[in-house]
Amino acid sequence: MSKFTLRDAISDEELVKEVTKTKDPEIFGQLYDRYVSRVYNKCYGFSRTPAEAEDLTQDVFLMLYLKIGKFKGYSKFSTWLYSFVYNFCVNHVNRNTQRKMADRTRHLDERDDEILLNVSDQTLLQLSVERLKKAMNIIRPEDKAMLLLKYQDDASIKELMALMNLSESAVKMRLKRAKSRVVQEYNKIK
Amino acid sequence: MNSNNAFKKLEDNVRSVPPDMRQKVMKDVAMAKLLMDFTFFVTDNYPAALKRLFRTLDNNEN
Repeated sequence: MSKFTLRDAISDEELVKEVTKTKDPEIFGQLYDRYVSRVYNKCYGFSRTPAEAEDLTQDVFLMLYLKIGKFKGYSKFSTWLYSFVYNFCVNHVNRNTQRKMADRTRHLDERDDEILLNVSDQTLLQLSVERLKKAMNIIRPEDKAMLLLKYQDDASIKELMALMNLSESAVKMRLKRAKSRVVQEYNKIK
Repeated sequence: MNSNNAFKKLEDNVRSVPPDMRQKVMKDVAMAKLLMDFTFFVTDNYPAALKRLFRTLDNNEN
């Protein structure tokens, strides 16, 4: 009997190690079962239709199977996976020409001398959910991914540094920009 | 702490995964595995097998 039948007793990291070593689709299926719901819902957040979310999820899992060896354990597997999903989704959104054109129009006001609001975490976390949802769909997908990783998936600054290969100050600056941008869009929504 | 975090609340409205998703993903994965095994065979095993074959032929000629 396979030692991987007691699914819940095995950590994600152990499963990943086995998938990396054996490339066994059955073991990968166990990771799929653990994460498909969250991955699908995250992809949905970057999609316009259920069909787009479905295609995106399917592509994410195939790419995950191929690239799973890149997980080196510098963060929790779940955090690494969500970052992987967001990167995939951001690239997908940016590849979409129509969206690119729309984004260009929307971000005409982006400049190097952009005024950044100082937004405390407490203020951010207490925003109205419906307006936040709308604002998140307006800001750049890169900013959206950053905010989701930090405030929805609980990635620490250290994990973000490892995932993005950035210094602490660069991570904090990106977070600050993303927070400011989402709040500015939030404030425009009635 | 969902009640104090608007970002967590964004996840409250969970959509169900389409039921045929697993089958599609596992089919893709099986195909990828097949291609990887084939690539491994061609790039790793096949040259080694050829080398062994030529060595055997050389030995036979000598």
